[in-house]
Amino acid sequence: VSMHQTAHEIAEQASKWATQIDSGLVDPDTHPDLRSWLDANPRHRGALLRAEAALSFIDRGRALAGIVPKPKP
Amino acid sequence: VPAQSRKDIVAWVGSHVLPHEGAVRSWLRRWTGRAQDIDDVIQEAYSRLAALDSVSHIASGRAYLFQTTRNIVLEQVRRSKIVRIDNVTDLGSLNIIDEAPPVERVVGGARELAQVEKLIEQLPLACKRVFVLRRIHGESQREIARMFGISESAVEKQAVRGLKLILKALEGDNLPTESKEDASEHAPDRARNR
Repeated sequence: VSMHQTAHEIAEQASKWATQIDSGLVDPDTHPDLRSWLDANPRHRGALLRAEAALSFIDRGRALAGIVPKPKP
Repeated sequence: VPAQSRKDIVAWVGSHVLPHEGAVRSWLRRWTGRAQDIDDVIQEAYSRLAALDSVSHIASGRAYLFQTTRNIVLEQVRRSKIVRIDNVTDLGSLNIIDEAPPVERVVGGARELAQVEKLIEQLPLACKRVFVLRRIHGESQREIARMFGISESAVEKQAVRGLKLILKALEGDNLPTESKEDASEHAPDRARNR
């Protein structure tokens, strides 16, 4: 089934997972639904890497602006 | 090569690969002329990156993305997945992609900050509020939900929406990564234009 997903659909799912990992809701190493999603299609791993990289890129902007954030949960 | 942490790889991709995606996409568009294939090619390139245990051997993320996408397109051509390439004779000129680590292309701090500001600036208001509180001020989803009197899942929805829009914006080639002149350096048709 996952082979028929478009790149766009995969990117959407990855955005959701990346957001949930970021908020601490999902542990990327153990969450069973995330693990099976990642194992379903190598493209899923790439899309998650890209989505998490985008969040990391934004966070670098914060560091460059010299803003000290509250510690994340 | 010792394996790197997942977090280190994500951070490296965020600062060395992702900011150059727009330039690679526009180069692919000029070369292959098909948007749907380009999404696939780019996604495949990130899959290959995600399969690596370490990225410490990659001198230039930008050059890596150009080379990897070029290889993927050529593989697809060989398998005839892409039947039409506008000008197959241009394939040879792809060798102009320079493989040296481009020191001056490492995106400088001020430019990087400008990129991030531009990405956030274009978000719709509700989305931007949540995104700025979460990412810039480091507030938790719970705290943001409390501040706005909305549910945590509503906050998450805006955060996901913001990330999707930012990923979409990163596909474009209008971020201030470099001058137009730098960008044309990678164009396969450079030789013809000079």
